[in-house]
Amino acid sequence: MSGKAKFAAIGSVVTGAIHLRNEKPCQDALFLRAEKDFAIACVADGHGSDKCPYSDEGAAAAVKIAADILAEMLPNLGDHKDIHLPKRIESEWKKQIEQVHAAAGREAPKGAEFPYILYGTTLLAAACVKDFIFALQIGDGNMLMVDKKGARPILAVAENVGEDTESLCLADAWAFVRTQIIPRSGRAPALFLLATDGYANSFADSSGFLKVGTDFFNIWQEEGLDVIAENLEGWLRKSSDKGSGDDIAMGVMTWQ
Amino acid sequence: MNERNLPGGEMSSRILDFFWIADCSGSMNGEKIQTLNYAIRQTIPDMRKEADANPNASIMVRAVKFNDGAQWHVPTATVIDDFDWVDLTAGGTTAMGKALELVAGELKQFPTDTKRLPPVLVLLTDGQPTDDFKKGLDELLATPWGKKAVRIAIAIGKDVDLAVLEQFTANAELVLEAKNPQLLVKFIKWASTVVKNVSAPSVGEGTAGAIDINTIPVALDDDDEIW
Repeated sequence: MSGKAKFAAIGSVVTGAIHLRNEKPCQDALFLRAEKDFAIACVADGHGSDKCPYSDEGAAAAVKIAADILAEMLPNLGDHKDIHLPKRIESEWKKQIEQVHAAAGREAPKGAEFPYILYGTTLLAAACVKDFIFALQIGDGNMLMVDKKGARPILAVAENVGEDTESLCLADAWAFVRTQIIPRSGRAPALFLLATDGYANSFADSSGFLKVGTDFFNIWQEEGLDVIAENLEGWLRKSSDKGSGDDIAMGVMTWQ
Repeated sequence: MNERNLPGGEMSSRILDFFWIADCSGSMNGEKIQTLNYAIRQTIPDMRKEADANPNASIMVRAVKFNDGAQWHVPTATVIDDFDWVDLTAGGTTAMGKALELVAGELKQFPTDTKRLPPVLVLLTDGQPTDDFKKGLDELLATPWGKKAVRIAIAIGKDVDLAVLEQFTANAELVLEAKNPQLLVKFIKWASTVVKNVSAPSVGEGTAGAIDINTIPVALDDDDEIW
């Protein structure tokens, strides 16, 4: 190894078994970016209920906006107590949603408040740089940090039952955004994955999803990241079929 | 694609727990309990169809009956394909609070992760609690799954304490007033269909926010007011 970190990002998004049966579009979105000095992965889960008919568009806007803002703010990401970043993501997402709504010629909002719930979505975003990972999350979904010692959840909520989720569409959504800095320990190879909740919900229990992390790490180390990239869509498809039936978006970043 | 094992541990569909909570007090005797028995039996084929249409959710049904106390009528979570309804008989007082305590005790056993879908609780009654209803409701709402449950109440006839049922549902629109047997059948059938809705995320409104209240059957002006 040259001593310089190498970054990679792969991912996939699949329409859930339930949406396929009901001929509904995928509501999840994925955005990846890998450069010489960093990698970024973002996933979002549009709520998909009757009250959120355009949540696929909300999710697509969220991942792109988050990736652009993270890339721009990379030099300052180390200060994770800064509330500027969540506030900026919320405000730019809401601004873009209003533009999308107007451009599509949809019915103008009746009240004073724009009905952002029409586009409601979660967001999970992470940026890997040389010394740390910055992770950000609002709403459901799962992130894992994995190295040779094992997989550990990041930004997990201790008690999260049912389907009531936090969302970018809420008023003052920035206040619900959780962030964390995860320092790299030495120069050991590490893998970071983030997925919408359709993946973790496909397992009988939480340990089943943790094992995804260690399985991916081992495949990466023994066979290479290309093997994961080639198989990922099929794995996610089968997982949705056998498990939750939900859409799944997943991003995987590695660095060594 | 290479044939290899799927990454991760054992997979499973998501469990949706459905609870019937039925009043069997003396005032239910006669047509009310007969209609309730008939209507619940009628929901079984539709719930089976829904289960077939969505193999990613396993509908598990239980039932509680209450009069002088509360007992499990169907104590074991029963997959809808194996579920059958044994007729209830009526007699005694209205220990509604004890019934909620019984359900709360069951929900306490559920793991607090997102694998399970929010339970659906359907309370059917024609009267007013004769025990400590608040204690039962407090116990229910103190459990994470009780708080998240979709809670629907069906008021049978005119003598129901609607304020109590609104406390149970926390949403006046989910208290359905059945003033005759036809409406009772319609409401029971409707309540059984909410299993379709609970897997969609709701935002800031509790789980019940995912339910489309526009689909609730409405009483017609010329409907007879029998009860």
